[in-house]
Amino acid sequence: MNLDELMSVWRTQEAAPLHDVNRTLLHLALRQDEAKLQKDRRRERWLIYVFSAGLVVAMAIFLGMMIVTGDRNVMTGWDFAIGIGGAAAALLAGGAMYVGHRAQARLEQRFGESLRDQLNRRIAQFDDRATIARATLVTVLLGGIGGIAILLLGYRVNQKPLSDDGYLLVSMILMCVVLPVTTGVWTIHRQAREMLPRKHRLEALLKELDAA
Amino acid sequence: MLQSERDRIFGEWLAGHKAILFKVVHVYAFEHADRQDLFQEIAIQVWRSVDAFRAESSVPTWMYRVALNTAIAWTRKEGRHQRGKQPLEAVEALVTTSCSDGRDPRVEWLYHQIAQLKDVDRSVALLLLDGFSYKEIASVVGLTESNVGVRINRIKSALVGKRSEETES
Repeated sequence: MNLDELMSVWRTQEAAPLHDVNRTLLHLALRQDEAKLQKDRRRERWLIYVFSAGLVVAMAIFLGMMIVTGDRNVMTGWDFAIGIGGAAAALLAGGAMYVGHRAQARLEQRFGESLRDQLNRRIAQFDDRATIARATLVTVLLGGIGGIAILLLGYRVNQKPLSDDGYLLVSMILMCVVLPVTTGVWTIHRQAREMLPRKHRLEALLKELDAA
Repeated sequence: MLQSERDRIFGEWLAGHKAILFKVVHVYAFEHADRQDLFQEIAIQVWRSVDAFRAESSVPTWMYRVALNTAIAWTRKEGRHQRGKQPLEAVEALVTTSCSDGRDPRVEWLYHQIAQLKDVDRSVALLLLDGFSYKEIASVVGLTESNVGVRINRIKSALVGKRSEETES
């Protein structure tokens, strides 16, 4: 039996198809998928709104600090540095997010529609998610350290003994430690359990494509 | 594109080329529930892809491309067998089986043989049996034509050789 005969055998199934589709259920599945997609997009939009609002608030706080310290008539270089540095950091964070998002979108657009391109696109998406996870982890850890530093600095500046608010201080420091550590453990666990194995399998498939 | 327009185009594609989806599902999923799950996944991806179709290739080529990409990604997904919740309660009935009387048993044999191949070779074998050219196969899978040629020779020898062996015995 040669290939042509195998192909003609293969074509016999067109005449007597074994399967059919339940169109009502399929229609329902498509509607559910559309609803899920819309929900995800809404959530993404809200996240952007909330983050943007957070940036605006952060900038307003730093600018406020400049104005308030200006009233005291004891302006030092540090008063300006903190205000300008904070506003610049907030702007920089927003800008970096935007630039990163655009760069990733451009990278993904470069891939075509073949199986190889799809694999490369998925691997690029995993890499991007890993970068975002790392950045989030660093930000949260720095936030925790910064939070503790600001707390302690506040007591020092106000010349207030730490023992005055013992329980409150300990709870706040605990929060500054527990939150970043929990986020860190969760991120690392998720990476190791979900993302890395999938990425490795995609890379293995790419290798399979390359091997003739 | 309006949703109704997308639904109309998808309906036409499905009516004309649903066999493509069944073939792909058949060589990438082996349990009944998995086949239902994969079929639903492929159908959703094809439906979503309607917007992106630019008529640079034929509809069957496009549908094969989407279906194969989805199937290969699906087989690589972790824990697909342990999905706690199915999106549809009656998902079992999404793909219905009609009477198999009159179906050539050699077709089942072919499916069985294709299922033994590696993931990428399964895609190449499906496209080959459906009469796609080397160039089309290369563009769908993302290989060079010479690489496709090497794979096809290997698949051909395996299929023909196995068939001859079994016929003789």
